[in-house]
Parts: sequence; structure tokens; C-alpha cells
Amino acid sequence: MEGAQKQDKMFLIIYSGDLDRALSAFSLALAAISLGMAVTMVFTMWGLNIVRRPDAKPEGSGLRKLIARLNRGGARRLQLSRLNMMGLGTALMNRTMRRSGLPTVADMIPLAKQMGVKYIACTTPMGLMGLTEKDFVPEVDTFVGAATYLLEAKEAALTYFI
Amino acid sequence: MTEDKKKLTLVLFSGELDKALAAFNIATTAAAMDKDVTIFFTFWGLNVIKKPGGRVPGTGMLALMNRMNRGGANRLKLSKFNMLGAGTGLMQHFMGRAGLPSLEQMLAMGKQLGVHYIACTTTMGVMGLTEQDFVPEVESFAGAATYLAAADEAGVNLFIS
Repeated sequence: MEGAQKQDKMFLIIYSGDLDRALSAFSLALAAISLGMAVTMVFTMWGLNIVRRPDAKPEGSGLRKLIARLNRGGARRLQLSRLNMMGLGTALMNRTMRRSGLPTVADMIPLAKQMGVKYIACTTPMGLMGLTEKDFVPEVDTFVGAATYLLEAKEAALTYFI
Repeated sequence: MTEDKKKLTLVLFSGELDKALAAFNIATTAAAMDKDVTIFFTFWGLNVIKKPGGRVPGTGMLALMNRMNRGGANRLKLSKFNMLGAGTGLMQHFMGRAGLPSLEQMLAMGKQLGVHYIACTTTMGVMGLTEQDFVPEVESFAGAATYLAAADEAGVNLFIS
């Protein structure tokens, strides 16, 4: 590592599944790729909800099923971390964004993919939550653990944990 | 890309007192060590640099939301142990006793030390905020691309979530 030339690359680890944080992460990713940087986004823990299929059916029984029911995913189901007000604040935010012509997270996932952003889902929390590869949107093509993606992260000039 | 060890950038996404204090602590320390520091305020982080007695922008629901989301460095709350403001009051009391600067003072101090403050225009638009809603210390109003141009040259880049 010492003295190694870092690559012109942005590496985002998205831990949070909040709407506001996801919007911020995708805005940074889109801006970076527009500036010609390579961008990789890793989704882990609650961040997995962003790239989950809305109709995903996690495996397992009992408690795991209950958790899965309480933690339903999909880019359109994300909520604000503050001022959610049982969904009212989130709805208002979505409406304001639509009116100002801003893309939603659901719009930005395929858009960023088209522009060349790489998506990785972290397998460790996937196992924890009973999720398998088929539970994710088709834009996600790599499923690996931390050791694998950290090799890539340490080369990147910009790394963020969101 | 040229990486400059003398540069540091922060994305301040959070509008919570403890996280903002941590961010400003790093920023002012780095600036005092002669580093070139940029803070990009986005989303709830915009509350840190809002004018304390500022207007409540928007109409209808947006105005209501902004009323519940009033900013100003002296109005921020702790992310934990707020206890309806009691925890925050206590924290400010102990900070004062320990001779630590308040967030408002750190904001001014950072400016004096040459820290660059950028407000994110995308989130400003969503919340119905304009340039007049911010303290004069804010140097520029720009989007993520402008921030990334600074980050790309910096040795340390942090996202305060």
C-alpha cells in the first residue's frame, strides 16, 4: 500500500437503508462517473434493501420470516431517516423530487448501471437475512464478502462508508 | 488525478449536534495544521449552516416540513440521549464548562482558518431553500460534481452520516 498510486476510482460502502442516505450515495456515484471516475457500490446490511426486489421472499422460518416481514426491501419502500412521520415526510420528499424533475433511487439504479457503476451485494448479511441472489434486482451482478471487495477498496482514491 | 496529502474534504450529511461537532473538530484541527479543508453540507447537514432566525420557506406541506426542520447551529440536537432537549442542554453546559467552543463558534473559527463551506444545491432545491437562508460563512453553492473535484485531490475524504 505504502506509496502505491491510487486509482481514479470511487468506492462506496452503503450500510444504511434510509432513503436520504441512498439518495446521497447515488448522487455522489453519478457525479463521480460523469467526471470519468470508475465507481463501485457495495450494499451491505440495511443497504441491501435498496437493491432488493420488492417481491423478494427470504428463506427461513419462524423468527427469520418475521424479521423479513418487518424489513421489506425495494428502492421504492425506503424511508427518510428523519421527519418520516409514518411515511408522510417520505411521501412529501418523493413528491417534491418528482416536481423538481429529480430522479428517484429506483430511477438511479438502472441509470448508474448504464453509465458503468458496478454493484456488489455483501454475502455475509445476505446469509443473516435469508436472502439469496434471486432476491436482488438484475443490476446487481456480483455477490462477494468483505475480504474480496476490500482488495478493490484499498486501490480507490475515494472511499466512503454511508 | 493527483492526490494531495495536504487536503481534506468532508461530506456533512447529518444535522445532529454530536456528528456536526465531530466533523468540525476534524475540520478545524486539520485547518490549524495548515491543511486545505472543504466541507460539503447536504441534506440534514444543511441545518448546520442555516440562519438561526431564518424564514420558513415553502408553502403548504413543504412549509410545515421546514417548520419541523428548523436549522441553525444552536438548534441542533444530539443523536442519542437528547431526552426532549435535556441531554443536549446538558452536553452544551458541560462543553461550556470544559472551555470547548460551541458549534456556532467552531463554524466561525473554521472560516477564519480558511475552511471552504459548500452548500449542496440539489438538496436545497428539494427543501425549497435559497442562498438567503444560509449564514454568510458559506462560500459557495454547488452540486456533487464540484465537491468531487475537491475530493479527488484530497488525501482524506469522510462522509459524516
